[in-house]
Amino acid sequence: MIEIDNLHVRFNSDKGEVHAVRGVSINVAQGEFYTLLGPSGCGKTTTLRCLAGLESPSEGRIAVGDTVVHDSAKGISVPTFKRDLAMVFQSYAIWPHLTVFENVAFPLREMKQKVAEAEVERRVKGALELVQLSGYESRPAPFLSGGQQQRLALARAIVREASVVLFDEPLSNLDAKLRAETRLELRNLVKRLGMTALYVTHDQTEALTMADRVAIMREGVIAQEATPTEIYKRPVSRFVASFIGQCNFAEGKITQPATASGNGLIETEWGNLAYSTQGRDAKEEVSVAVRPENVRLADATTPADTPRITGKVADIVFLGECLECKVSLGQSDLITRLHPSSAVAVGDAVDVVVMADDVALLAV
Amino acid sequence: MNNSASVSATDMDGKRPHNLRNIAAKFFPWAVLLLVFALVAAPIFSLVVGAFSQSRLPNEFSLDNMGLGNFHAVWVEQRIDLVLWNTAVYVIGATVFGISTAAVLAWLVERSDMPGKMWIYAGVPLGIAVPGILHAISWVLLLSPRSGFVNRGWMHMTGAEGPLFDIYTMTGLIFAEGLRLVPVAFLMLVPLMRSMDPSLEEAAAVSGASPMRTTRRVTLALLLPGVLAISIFQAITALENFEIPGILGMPVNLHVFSTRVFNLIENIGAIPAFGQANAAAVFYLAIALVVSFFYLRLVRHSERYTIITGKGYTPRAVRLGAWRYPAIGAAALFLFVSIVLPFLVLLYVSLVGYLRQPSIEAFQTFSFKHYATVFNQPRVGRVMWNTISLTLMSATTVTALSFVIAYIVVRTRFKARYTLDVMSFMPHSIPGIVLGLALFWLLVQFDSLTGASTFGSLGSLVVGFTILFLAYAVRAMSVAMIQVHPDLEDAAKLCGAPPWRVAIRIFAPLLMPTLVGIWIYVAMLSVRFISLPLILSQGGNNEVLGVMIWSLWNNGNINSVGAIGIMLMSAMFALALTLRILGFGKTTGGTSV
Repeated sequence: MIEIDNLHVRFNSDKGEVHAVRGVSINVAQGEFYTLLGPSGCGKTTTLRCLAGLESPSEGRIAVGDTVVHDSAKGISVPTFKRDLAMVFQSYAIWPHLTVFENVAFPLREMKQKVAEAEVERRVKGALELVQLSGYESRPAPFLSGGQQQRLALARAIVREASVVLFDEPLSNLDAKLRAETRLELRNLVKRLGMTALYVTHDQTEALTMADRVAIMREGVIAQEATPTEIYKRPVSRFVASFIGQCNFAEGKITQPATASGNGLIETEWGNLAYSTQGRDAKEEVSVAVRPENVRLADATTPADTPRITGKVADIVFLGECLECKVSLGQSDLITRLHPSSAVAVGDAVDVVVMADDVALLAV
Repeated sequence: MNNSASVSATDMDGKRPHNLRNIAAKFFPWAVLLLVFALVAAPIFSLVVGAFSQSRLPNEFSLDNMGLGNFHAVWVEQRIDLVLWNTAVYVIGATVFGISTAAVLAWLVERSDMPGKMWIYAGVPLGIAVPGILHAISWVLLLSPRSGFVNRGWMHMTGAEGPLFDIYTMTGLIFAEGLRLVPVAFLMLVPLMRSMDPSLEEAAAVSGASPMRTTRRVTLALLLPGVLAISIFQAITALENFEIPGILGMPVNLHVFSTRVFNLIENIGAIPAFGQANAAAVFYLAIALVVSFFYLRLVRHSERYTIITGKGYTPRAVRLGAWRYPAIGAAALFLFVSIVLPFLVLLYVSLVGYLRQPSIEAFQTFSFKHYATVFNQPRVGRVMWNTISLTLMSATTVTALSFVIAYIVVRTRFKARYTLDVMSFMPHSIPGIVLGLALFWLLVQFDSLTGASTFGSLGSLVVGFTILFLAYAVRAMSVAMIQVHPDLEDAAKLCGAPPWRVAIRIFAPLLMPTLVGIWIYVAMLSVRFISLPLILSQGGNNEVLGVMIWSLWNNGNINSVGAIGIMLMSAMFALALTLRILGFGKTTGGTSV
């Protein structure tokens, strides 16, 4: 549904030329919820704005559905208002001089074929109902709360029934509680209406909970593109691993490669680790990443072939849903997340284990 | 809300004399309120009472001789209804012309890719430096029907019988006043255009609206309320202006309110009709108040249209294409006509031997003798001294008083702070001529009661200017103070700084550009403004430069006017440049809206 091919964007700024997007290629299927995640300045919003036609790419090709909307090589550039898409802005961009109803009706009134007034009314009402803003029709738009403005922006985006909806950090101006509620509502709505969504955010929770597929961007390139589970469990780089959640990192050397029949072993600064990812050779230098919640206390159920790491509890932080312990291993530390009921105290000697499946080998 | 909000201006320093300090802190705001009330109400009261007085002269005023005769006379004999009509045409014409010119310039500078934007951006506000009276005089020198340089040249070249353009007409008035409105309107429009969130327009494009439709339904619709408010603000300026209609309209009996009121008391060859002048001034003031009321209403409800989200935007420039060079050409032409041309005309007049059409022979008579003449006049030293003292005193008084008022309104919980705010805005709607007349009555009564000689003193002008410019200064000051977040002061307090150190190290440096900016702007206004001094000036004690130019011009002493004008304009340009360097024009531009 969305095809972005080798997109490059260069700006002229005060500090000289900025190469904001450096060869991004994205393919979003019909009905998919695709998220671009990254720190500020990584080029994610620029990519989105190129798709909307609000920014002009220096190089590359963009297609929405069957229409090529931009092709630098062929000199094609369809102006924004002729593209079949809708967008929710970070600032919401609610027109302050129009009422709630007129804000939503705006895209309908701008359609090529004139929409009958009764039809406009029906569709606006429908859209407002979907976002639970019924009854606010005649209110001047600035007299809405932040959350309501956000939903109004959403209603305006869906009323047009465009095949693609773009979201530019739409939840970043809401407070934490409202943001959590809105996340799922928004995803469900998009799914229910069968729209294809491209969603830009810097919030990892949003990306993990909402997206079908996530692309993590850094310095104008996509660092990794995968499903949220895959990204979380198998990050390909230190950047991806630490951008999404917390992680322990170590350098190591493979002493025994993993095969189809059994786990391999890596010698790291923490001690030996079992791992299961195949395709690495013996003696290969590797970086490993282990999530804190996957570092467990060894107990009776721990398989015998999983190497134990002995250390000393150096620090405990109570986080409510878990205990975060720093286990000192002499040269290095391991952060672990334990169930709050775990009986550990600072100074205890503990054995911790990491299951072979929980060890991620980083590509870089 | 927090501690600093309850601290008033007086307890900025020290903690010792506890009781005294508390009492002072409690009564100080009331004293300020009373002062502002007195400054506004006393002159207006005497003006209105004077309008009912049927004695011939103000000092013959008696309660036994009161009546409605003046109003009747003004309406029936003086045909004030015609003046009303003229004023309406003049104000509306000048506002529409001025605002549209300023809007085009602001749009080119803010939203287009016109080359040389920075020059226009820096140049337009310099127009503030050209005093209205000199503007008007230079137009007369160029476009007076028989002797204007342009008209003479035109008739000479084409053999035409009549002039190309007669400046002594309503069109001339509108043209000259419209041009004069541009700099301030421009300074107000630029932030308005800059503050618009470009995503509002992008949202329209994403919703399928073509660029034309986006401009109409979003851009213009959003700008409209702001532009309307600025237009009314400028209309008030045009309404109270005296210099332009005084030079261009009065000689041919083309009267607007300001000149009519003046004409009733200063008409050569006629007996001054003080009571009637007051009656006309009451009409005049009423109109100004109504317009100001609409302005305040409009501004108060402007939150509905708040499009300022506090972010700095850099909207993409609209590509002008082939129109880029015509655009910069037109903008440069504006700068030439409104700033360079008046300067050149006066420069020519000040240097040429005797007044004649510019030519090679005329250039050969160039000398500095008119400058010498000016300096050889004994009154000049006195006038210069008066002007400088008046400027320094007015600017300082206004800056200090507006600081105190703004502090009370913004930073304290003084009960009547809203009243104080509104009251300090009131004088904005009092035209200079009206205030001059009102003070004239007040001072004459005061002097005849007490035997003092306040009338004809320099102090009377300082009081007058303080009243006239207070509204502007308080608004600019309040806005600047609001922007200094109280947390900044609280943070300094928590770092252990005593209140007076907070004031010196935090508050003062943050507000300094505003204080200096207001000071310079009021100083410039004090030099430019001649309507009030014209009425209150009585001989050497308080004659100022503007008044001297006025009388020299009316006596036909044109070369001296040129010489004084050039010196005055040079000083004003220096002040205006300082103001620009402080970046003050940028911040206050939007605040008065």
